[in-house]
Amino acid sequence: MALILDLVSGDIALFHVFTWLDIGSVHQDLKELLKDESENIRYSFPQLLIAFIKEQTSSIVKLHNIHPYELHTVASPKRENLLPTVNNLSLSSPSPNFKNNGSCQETRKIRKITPQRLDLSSDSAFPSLQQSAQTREIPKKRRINPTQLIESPVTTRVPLQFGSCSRPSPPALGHNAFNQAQEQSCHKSLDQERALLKEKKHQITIPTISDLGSTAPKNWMCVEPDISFVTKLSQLDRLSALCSFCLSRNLVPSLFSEIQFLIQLLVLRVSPAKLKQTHLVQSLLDSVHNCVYFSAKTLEHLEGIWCHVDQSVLQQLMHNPRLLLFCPEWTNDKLPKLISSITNVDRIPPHKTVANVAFQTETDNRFNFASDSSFQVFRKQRDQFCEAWQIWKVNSSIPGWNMSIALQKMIQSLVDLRRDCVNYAHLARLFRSQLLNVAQLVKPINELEEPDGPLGQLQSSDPDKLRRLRDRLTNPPESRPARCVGTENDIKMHFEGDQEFFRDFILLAASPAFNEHLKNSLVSGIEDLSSSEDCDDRAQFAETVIALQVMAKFLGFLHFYPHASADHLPEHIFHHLSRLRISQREPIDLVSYIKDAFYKGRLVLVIPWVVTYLTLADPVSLCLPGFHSVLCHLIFVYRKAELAPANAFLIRILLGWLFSQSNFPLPLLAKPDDDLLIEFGNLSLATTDDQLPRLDQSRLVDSSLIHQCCPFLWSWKHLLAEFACSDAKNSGEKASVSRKITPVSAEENPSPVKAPAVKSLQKSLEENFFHNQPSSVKRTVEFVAERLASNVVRDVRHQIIPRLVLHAQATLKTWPSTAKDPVESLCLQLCADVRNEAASAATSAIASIESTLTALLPNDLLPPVRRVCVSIASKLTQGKVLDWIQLHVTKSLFKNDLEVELAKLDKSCARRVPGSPTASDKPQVVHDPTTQAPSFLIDRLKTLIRQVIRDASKVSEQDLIDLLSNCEGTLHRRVDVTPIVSKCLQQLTFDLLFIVCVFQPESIGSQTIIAWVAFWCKTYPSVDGVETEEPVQPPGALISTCVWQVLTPKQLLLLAQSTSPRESWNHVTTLLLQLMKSGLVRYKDVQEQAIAVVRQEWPQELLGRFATCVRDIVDWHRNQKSEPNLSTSESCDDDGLLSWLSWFCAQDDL
Amino acid sequence: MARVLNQTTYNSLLDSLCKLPFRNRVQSLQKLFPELSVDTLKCIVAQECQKRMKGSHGRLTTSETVEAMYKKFTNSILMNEEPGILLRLSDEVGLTPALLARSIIERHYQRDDKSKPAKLLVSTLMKNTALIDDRDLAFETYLCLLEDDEYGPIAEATKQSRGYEYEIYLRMELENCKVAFLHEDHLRMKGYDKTPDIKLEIPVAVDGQVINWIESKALFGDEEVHRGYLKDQLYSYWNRFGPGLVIYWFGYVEDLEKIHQNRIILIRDALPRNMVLMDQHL
Repeated sequence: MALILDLVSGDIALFHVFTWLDIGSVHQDLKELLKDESENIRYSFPQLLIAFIKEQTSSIVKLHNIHPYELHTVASPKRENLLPTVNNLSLSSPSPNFKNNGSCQETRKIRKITPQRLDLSSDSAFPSLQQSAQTREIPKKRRINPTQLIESPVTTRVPLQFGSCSRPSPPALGHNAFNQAQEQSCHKSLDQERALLKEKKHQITIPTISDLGSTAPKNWMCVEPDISFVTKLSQLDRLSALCSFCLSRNLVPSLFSEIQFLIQLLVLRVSPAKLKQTHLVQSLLDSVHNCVYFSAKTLEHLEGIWCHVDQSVLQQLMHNPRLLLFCPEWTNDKLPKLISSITNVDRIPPHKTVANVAFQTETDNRFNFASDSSFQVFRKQRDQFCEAWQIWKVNSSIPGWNMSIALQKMIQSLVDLRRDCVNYAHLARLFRSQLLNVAQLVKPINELEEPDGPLGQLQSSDPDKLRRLRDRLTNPPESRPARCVGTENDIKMHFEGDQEFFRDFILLAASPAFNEHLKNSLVSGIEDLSSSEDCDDRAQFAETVIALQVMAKFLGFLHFYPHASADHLPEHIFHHLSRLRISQREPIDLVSYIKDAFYKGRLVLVIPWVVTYLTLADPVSLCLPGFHSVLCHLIFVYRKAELAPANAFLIRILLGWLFSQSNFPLPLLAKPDDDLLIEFGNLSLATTDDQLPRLDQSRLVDSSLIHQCCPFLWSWKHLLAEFACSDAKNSGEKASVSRKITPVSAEENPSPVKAPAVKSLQKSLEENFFHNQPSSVKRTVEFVAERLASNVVRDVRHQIIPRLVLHAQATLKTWPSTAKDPVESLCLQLCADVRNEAASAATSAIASIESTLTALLPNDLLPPVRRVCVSIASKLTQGKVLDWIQLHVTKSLFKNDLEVELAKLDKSCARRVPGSPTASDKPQVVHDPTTQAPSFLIDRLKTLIRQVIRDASKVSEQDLIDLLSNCEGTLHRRVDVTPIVSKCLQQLTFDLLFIVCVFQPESIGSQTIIAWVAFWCKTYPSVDGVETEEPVQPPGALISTCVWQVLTPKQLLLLAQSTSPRESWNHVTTLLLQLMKSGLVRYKDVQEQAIAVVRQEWPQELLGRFATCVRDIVDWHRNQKSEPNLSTSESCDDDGLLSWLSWFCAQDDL
Repeated sequence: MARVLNQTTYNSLLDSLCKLPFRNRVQSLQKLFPELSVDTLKCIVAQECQKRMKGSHGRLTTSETVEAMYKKFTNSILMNEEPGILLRLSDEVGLTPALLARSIIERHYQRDDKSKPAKLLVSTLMKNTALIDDRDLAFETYLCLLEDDEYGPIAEATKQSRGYEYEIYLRMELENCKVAFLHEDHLRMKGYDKTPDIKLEIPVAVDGQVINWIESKALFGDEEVHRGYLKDQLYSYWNRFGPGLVIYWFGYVEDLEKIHQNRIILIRDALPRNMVLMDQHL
């Protein structure tokens, strides 16, 4: 402390101090001051400086007035993911940091998180707004709580921990600003509090000042800083210079907290009354004037920082009355310029309109599952998962809705619907995709800050209301829906908005198998994105960063959740737990990621997710030896990494945030660079041949991404805004004290060193070839080969294999039944065929490589180089196709298909509807929309038949002829005729013709009958040998099921109703004869039908006609037989049976 | 002729429907609602009938009731009653003619242990009544099939055909509009787990809304029907392909879209004429 005091009040050129801090060389003037401890002090100097400043300000800061309203208020927007809120901390117990300096084991306290999800548009989310208007005058019990008044600045001010912990000289401990504060508060106790209370009471009655810009200090009852009252100007200037140097050189551990502290000093409010009562310890910063001066000067010098923060923060700075007073040049000139120079390009990925996870054939179709049942089950799982998500979306904001009641059963059953690794893996992937989808859908955080938004308007019209609103959000009243799973005492890691669904899904599913797969999926997702090449586009980069953060967050959740505890762990338990976990492995090797990123210039991509992951760590984890290395690496990165300004700001603010977590092992921060360097290992590893683009120097980051990754930054704005808005001196609540959960780490995995494989000369030639070409050449060649091979494989899968299998199935029918194992040999044959065809498909695909590569490769490549590229790409393509064939084209690929087909054949040689045209049988038809639709035709036929039977309405011969041509048109010139429909039309047309023959023999001639039979013959060709092989029928003795039933009982019954039986029978006989002539009905069928008829009783007249008909058939048949060239298998049939039947039926006395 | 009904009209239509006797209800409704398309009315009547049968089929076809109906039928045959015995019985018990005929056939062909005959046998007989050995039952069944527009092989074929016809019609319309799409058969071949009738390979916009798939339904979309499809098909498509369109060719009840909540699935009664295609100019 004395050192700094000496420095500040002495006259050593600060330049020398800066050099010393920068490179360690000690100037003559400094030597005296530093004595022999130059190196020891060098790394802790910045922390000493901060501690010094805090000590100097302590006495005045503790007089800072906190508006009673503010006790529970958090000055920060709600939709932030990482923002700590005061209600997460225990107000009543002082932060352990202040009790146990330096002992990090005692400094942890897990936050209890109340999930919050804000929907401003929903009335139900703020049910008590009107109430609050009514009860405005009635002070709520939490408004006045005098004891807390004293304590709250203590408990909520974290930055001090750096100073207090790393201070090397023991006597300084006693002077710790906050110890002092506590002591004093004890001494002064009641009197002081009463005075405060009086004052508060007075303030509450002061009306709200809604004019933001107004600097009406008179009403505010606080000391207004005045530049003319500032004392010790030169010392303050020196201190400010030292401080801003340390800040801008990243020498302080947490940039975020220190700036936060400076802003707190800027908005310091102390009431004159209190000032009078208090005896202030003499110090550099013992007055509001000095504090504000110091703060303003220091802030002004941090130009490198302000250009990265959000415009709205700058606006607040610009309009801050105290800055206007103390740094008029900055606020009037430089800041406006800076603001106008920041082009406000919205780079947060535009709202995606697609909210579902798209089905991708490559990853989701049947080929990605081991079995049909697995595929079918996952179809259900996918739909149920989406359903659960939708139900949550709709209901989660409804008061009283409870996710565990509503969804637990559904979630549990869907997750474990099929205990199979394939299904778990697919589900995990779906979960991850949906999560990322939602993460990208989340509205940008600063949306709430927009002046036009509802909150923005409120901010200007009624800031007090806004504050109360926020208050309500952070302190949800009892009526808020208890959407979170489990009881209040459960530990909830902090998730916001839609992410809650995913957290609770994991908790409710309670499936270890699923968790494991999800971990794997997240780890591989992080791996993929971390090595993503598509980062050149700024929007794409922002999307990647956010996706990585979300995945890391959930990975952290899965990994650290089992170790979380709501209780403060006593030391012995803590030690016990850390012993148990001493060799625990992390799911992801952070050290190698950090190291890699450092050397490959990709820190800006990797650090954000690493920090997100670590902030979820539990208290024990951070103290595990495995984490030591990770943290040292991060500190090294914080100090040494060189990035483009905005990138550097992003990762430093994030790292600083991590370092300021209460559980962070502080001694690490004072380690000299050299120690850290040892941790970093051999730098020589750096030169790896890598194609990934370096990002750290690219201009990829802007303020909106910074604020999206570091939502806690908004607290700066809110400190300023509340100062500007408040009715009295509020601004209290140094918001956003970061008390997050602490990091963990596993054993450092030694990066696997691959044994150098023996490479062929050709291989190394190729390697060298690509090495000396632009990296895009190799990427292009590999890409083209990959895509071509994938196309060939697709072709093999979807075209060649199905075609060959179909063919094989067909040959199975003709396969001699004596063959021993038809399936086995066919499979072998198929494999060979597929391989051959695939090989030729690959060859033809390769033909296109030359033109493709010519179009894609750089234009200035020498022709020979291009030729080499073509040959490499061809080789690669062929190799990939061959690999696939080796792996997939095996006997088992076909076995199932063929066995199923064989089983079908065994069961029934053919149940195929005779003559029904199937898609494959039919030649290509050009659809003729002028023909009648099949459904219309069916309807028409049906109606006609009904009318003829029931209403005896007339059908003309012309009608029948028209119908015939209509049927022809429909059946032959349309593509929308299904087999069932075709069959139905067959039946109906036959029925109609038969019925017309029976009921209206006068409207039909034999020509018409002949024409119809010809049509049927053409449309429904009889498949020989099919009907004879009918499967065994159940009792009822159906012999033939063909449509053409002329002499069955039903038809005879119809004939019996004919009014002119002779004509009817003549037509029917003609019909039957025609059918037989055309081969649609066989002689054998008639025999069977006739036998069935005579089993029943019939009127004699009918039997007589039946006999005549049968005799005609027999006669025709005899004539057929006598013609030798027409001999068929039937010709040997015996006519005797039918002749006898005919004779028998003709007997009168029957 | 209107095919899209508001909820009030639809409710009053259902009310009138309940009061009408089972036969010729379409014609009666036509007089009451002349502004509505006949196809829509037919469809609504058919769906009402199916709903009714779903509710009462089980109750009306217990073995006891079937036995009683069969007795009644055989009695009537013995009494030489006019043809149309089953039709009259159908009106009496409230089963549709085809369903009744099927029950009677099942009873007629029952096995020795009184169990039902094979389904294949029954459906073969229903398709081709000429194969029924009992001439009276065959003729009566045939009359029933001719009368029944909802059940039986002829009605089934009509329904199936209509669905397929509209699907093909939709494909052709899309081809005319130069919309690139895959249809069900393609999708099945590619191993999709859920296959809408049309999956647009290049999305189009309808009334300012992007759609990625189209499902064709040759029927009338009332709430029950629509909810059923949402659950079994439409939400599954949404889950996989995003927003889409369902076409109820015979109309629908207005405002059904509101039950989708935030999932966008448009409902129309024809292929919209105002589709906006993706700009493919360079």
